[in-house]
Amino acid sequence: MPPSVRLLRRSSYRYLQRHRWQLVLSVLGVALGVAVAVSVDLATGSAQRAFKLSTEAFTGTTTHQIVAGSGGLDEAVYQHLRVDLDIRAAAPIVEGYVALARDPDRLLRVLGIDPLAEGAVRTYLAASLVDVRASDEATSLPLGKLIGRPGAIAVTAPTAASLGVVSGGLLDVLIEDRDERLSVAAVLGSEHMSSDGALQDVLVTDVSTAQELLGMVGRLTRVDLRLEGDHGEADADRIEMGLPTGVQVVSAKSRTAATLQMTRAFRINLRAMSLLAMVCGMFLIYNTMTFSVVQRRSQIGTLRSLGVTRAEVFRLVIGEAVLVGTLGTVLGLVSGIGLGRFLVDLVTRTINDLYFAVTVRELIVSPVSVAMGSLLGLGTTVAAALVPAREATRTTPRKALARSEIEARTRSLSPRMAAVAVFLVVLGSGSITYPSASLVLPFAGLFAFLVGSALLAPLATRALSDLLRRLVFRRLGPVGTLAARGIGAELSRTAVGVAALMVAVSVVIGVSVMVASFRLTLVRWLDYTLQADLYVSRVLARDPAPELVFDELTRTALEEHAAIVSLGTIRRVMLPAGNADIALITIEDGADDGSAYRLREGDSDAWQLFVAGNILVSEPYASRNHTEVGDEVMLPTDQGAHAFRVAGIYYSYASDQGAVLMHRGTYDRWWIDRSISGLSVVAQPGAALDVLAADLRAAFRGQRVAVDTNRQLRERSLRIFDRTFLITGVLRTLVMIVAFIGVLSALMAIQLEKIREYGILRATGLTPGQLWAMVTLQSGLVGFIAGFLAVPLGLGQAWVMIHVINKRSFGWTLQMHVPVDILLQAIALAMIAALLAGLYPSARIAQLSPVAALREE
Amino acid sequence: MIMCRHPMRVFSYALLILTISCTRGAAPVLPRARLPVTSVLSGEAQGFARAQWPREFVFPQDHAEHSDFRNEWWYLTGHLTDGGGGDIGYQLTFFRTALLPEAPGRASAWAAQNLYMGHFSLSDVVNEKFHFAERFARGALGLAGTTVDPLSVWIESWRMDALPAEPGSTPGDLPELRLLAAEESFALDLRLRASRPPVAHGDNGLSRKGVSPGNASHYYSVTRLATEGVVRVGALTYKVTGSSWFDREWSTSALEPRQVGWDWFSLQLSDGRDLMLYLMRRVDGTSDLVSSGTLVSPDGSAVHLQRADFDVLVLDQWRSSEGVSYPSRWQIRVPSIDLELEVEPMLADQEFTATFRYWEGLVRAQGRATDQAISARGFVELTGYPTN
Repeated sequence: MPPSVRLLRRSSYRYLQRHRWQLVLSVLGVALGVAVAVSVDLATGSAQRAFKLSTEAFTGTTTHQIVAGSGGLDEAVYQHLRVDLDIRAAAPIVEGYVALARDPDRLLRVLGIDPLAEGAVRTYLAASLVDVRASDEATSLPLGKLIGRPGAIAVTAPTAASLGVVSGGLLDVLIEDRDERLSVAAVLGSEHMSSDGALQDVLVTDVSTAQELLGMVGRLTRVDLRLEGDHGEADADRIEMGLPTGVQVVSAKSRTAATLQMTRAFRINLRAMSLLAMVCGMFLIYNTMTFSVVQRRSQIGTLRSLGVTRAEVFRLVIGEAVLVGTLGTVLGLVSGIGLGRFLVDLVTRTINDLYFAVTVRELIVSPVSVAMGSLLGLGTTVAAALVPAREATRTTPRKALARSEIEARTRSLSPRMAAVAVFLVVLGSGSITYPSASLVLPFAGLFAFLVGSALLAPLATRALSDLLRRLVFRRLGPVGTLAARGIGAELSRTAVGVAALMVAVSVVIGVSVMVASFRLTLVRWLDYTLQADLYVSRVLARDPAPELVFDELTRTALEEHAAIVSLGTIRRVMLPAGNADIALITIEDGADDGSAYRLREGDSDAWQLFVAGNILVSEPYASRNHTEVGDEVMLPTDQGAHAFRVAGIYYSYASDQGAVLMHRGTYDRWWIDRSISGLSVVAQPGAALDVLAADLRAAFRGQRVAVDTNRQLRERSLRIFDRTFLITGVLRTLVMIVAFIGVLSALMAIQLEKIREYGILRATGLTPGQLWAMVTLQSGLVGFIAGFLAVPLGLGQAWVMIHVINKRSFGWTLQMHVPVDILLQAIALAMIAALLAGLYPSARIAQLSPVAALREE
Repeated sequence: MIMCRHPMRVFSYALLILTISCTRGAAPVLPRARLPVTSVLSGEAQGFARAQWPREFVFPQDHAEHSDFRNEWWYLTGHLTDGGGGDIGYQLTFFRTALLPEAPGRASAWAAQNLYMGHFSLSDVVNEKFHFAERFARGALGLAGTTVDPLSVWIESWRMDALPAEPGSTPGDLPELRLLAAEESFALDLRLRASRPPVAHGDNGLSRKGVSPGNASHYYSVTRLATEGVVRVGALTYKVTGSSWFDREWSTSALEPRQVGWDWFSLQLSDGRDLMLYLMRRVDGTSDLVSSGTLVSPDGSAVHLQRADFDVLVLDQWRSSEGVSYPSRWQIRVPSIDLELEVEPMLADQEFTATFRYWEGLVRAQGRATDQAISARGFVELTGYPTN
């Protein structure tokens, strides 16, 4: 090792040792950035993988599926398939959910199969059902007991353990609000399963038990097929030909892909949020590295004049960055995995609320995520250090020794930086507004915009601090002037801190305003959509909604009820349409004036057309399918496929998958289904709703119904909304923590650096109190400037998220709503963060004796 | 002590409740599930009827299912020749096993009292190829089942159906049958016309299996049915004629632990007589004293043969690709009627290796009866031979 390198190493070590708080904070900053990015990635990845695994396990070697709309298909289809068409690899499925009786929030998937048909598609399941070790009796197999014994189930060992049941035991479940007792005929061993996750929280039953349990006697959810080889396509055609209307053969693979695709926008949004945290972390690193270079200018100058080359100086700075990056990344990965365990619950709950049921029991730490996190942490750190490292090498030995040079350069650099910044802002704005369906483009634009804005921070900071000095701080006497001037004069050090805080606070503002806008839009939508007083539906309704029998007798009785003004019905069915199903909502409004539906686009007589047989499509539907008014939508009716004309596009926030709205009269013309999914009741003003609710329950006696008031329904909707955005809130907090650490590190460094200067001030007569006030004022000012600058930036982000990202992701129009308190809170937040960050240095400085301070160096 | 006539079939029954198969082609998808047969067959017999007395068979009712008994089968084997003289053997068997002694009475049409298993094989002697397939289905939703009038037994598309009775036939006669079974690479469509009446085995149709009463089965056969139809092997379709053998048995109870397998013979002699024999093999390799047989005359009269009445000597062995050594040539002697036959498989590899493994194949025999030269065609069933 050449002596110069050893010397450099030692100087580096000494520096880091003396500034270990700064080192710790930088490492922490990198760690947090990495942790947030990795945890979000792992959490969404785990949910995705869990879904894929269970779907793959469920799909087995299935190539095609026979599906129908909600309610499933007639079981005679299966008999026809096996006996008449002699299709060998066909397995019937009856699927649904039950809740655990002692914990009704825990849903268990019921998988009704024919154990004798499973060998063709799910070999592992077939194998485990003939494994006598799984049985509760040594002399008979799970297979025979599942078929022969009503209510018999088989579960995997991990599921049995988590449910606390053993082979031969009993399991109490809730179906709707009915209690059922199931018997555990077998606990399936893992030796046949490729993965334990495959049948997690799944109750395997015979088709017969599943039909009886789920109220699907006579129906199947689907039939899984394995059609391969030369006959595959011919078989598919042969099967398709004999199927009743409304029943289709679809490819299993593309169906799974379509389901996964549902969460795509959700996942991209989460990932972007996590990258925002990383951007904040990046500023923090940049700040630290810049500062360490700025602080060591004289030292670097000395080294250079002693003959140390530029390349060696460059390597020194980069080497330090690698050290910080490595430590931070390792710490970040570890805490990211920990954080991921927490986030995965939130992600899973949201997916369950909004998309499909998935059970994620563990965080899957994928090597790809870890590698990505490492690259992000190390790469970002080194990239952030590149500018300061180059700065350090560019300085000539003489210049480096002159301290005044530094600030002069920073100031002169600002306009050039500004040019880059403006370019980035323009580029960002361009890609945000560029018309396309891409989600990556606006997010990339948003990042460019943020970075550009951050680069503009020094200019804005100087301008603002000058302004504030003249307007406010001068009145505070010399202390105020000193505090304000300090900011402008120490731009090279303050600007990065301000920028980091500004970016973080702007993200907080952006996200908060977006969520508030969304919530308000939802509340308004609920206001005009939920017009009735009481709503009757089946208990624990899930998609597809179980049907409610509403016969003429019940209808007449209710219509004649004294307390009822009018009745409306709703029927929600899922129609098979290729790989994805179409949600069809059929309504019959008591008033039939359409006031519960607001149109974004549509003919002036849209509602009349709708009543006459046209359809309306929801905004997300139109956006997903590029549907416009006047288009025709092909729907599989009970009389064959029929094209329905779209009379309008209505606002709906019920589901981001979209829906087709049809009048009940139209539905009754094309479908034979006469049941309903829900009933809305407008009561006489002043009617006792609880009495009426009891009457309604009595009218549907024999069918387990829930009667909700308008308010309950609204509260439930908002509860789900709030739960959905819980994870957003968590991420927002994390971003704030990263920013806080950034400010802490920046301000502490600045103030500690200036201790010598403060010693002179003390020596020239400033009292400790005055000095403390000055430092505190300065910190507060930094916070205020950052918060102030964050407001327009945050609002810009909110605008992008509302009008570009949400629109493209989910297809809905949100009304932007800016609560002033969010803005005030954000500025206060920034100031508090800055003041807290200034607390320790100011306390230390205030205690300092001038002599000690002057002796510092 | 008289044991069951068709032990092999009981054995395969045991496996039915143990196993599940692939549903396409003949390749098994599972490792064979194995359990001591006795433990399965000695299971809950509670609630099921037991075979305790000799039985006067009543037709056509007894051709159809007896769901108060746990196990039952319709077992068809036959020897066919195409126009060019090529030999083809076939087996088509429908097994039924009850999960419950009574109809379940549940809301779902899938609720089943019975499970069915089908075995179908073709022995293509000319091309030296053995084809086999297996099916399982529940006796519900029309997937599998039986009816008495008209007589039908089916598993999915594999069927045995009675054709409309001809004028002048008596109810006691077995109606003309049509067999239909098709797989991707082989198929059959046959018509079977009984040329002699059903014959009861054992003690007037009661075939005892153990010392305690009720450990027995009801068992009859139609030992000769004139057969014609078509057989498809690969892309080739053959018009065939020949002779079939139809076995019917139902029971509830179990086997002895010391028995490991069976060798079973059904031979149609050229002099018009039919011979059924079986040997129960014990753990030590010797044959059990309960082994027995039946000799059926052309007029349908039957003679019961005790173990002491006949002698079977193994002359050769054949080792299968799965590593199982099966006997492959026998000398059979029935001194009481002065019959001597040498029996050999017409195709060495007729090993059925789906959910479980056994050898069931077409055989031919040469020999003498009193002083007349005699020949025979038939089937041999070999079970319980271990891999080595």
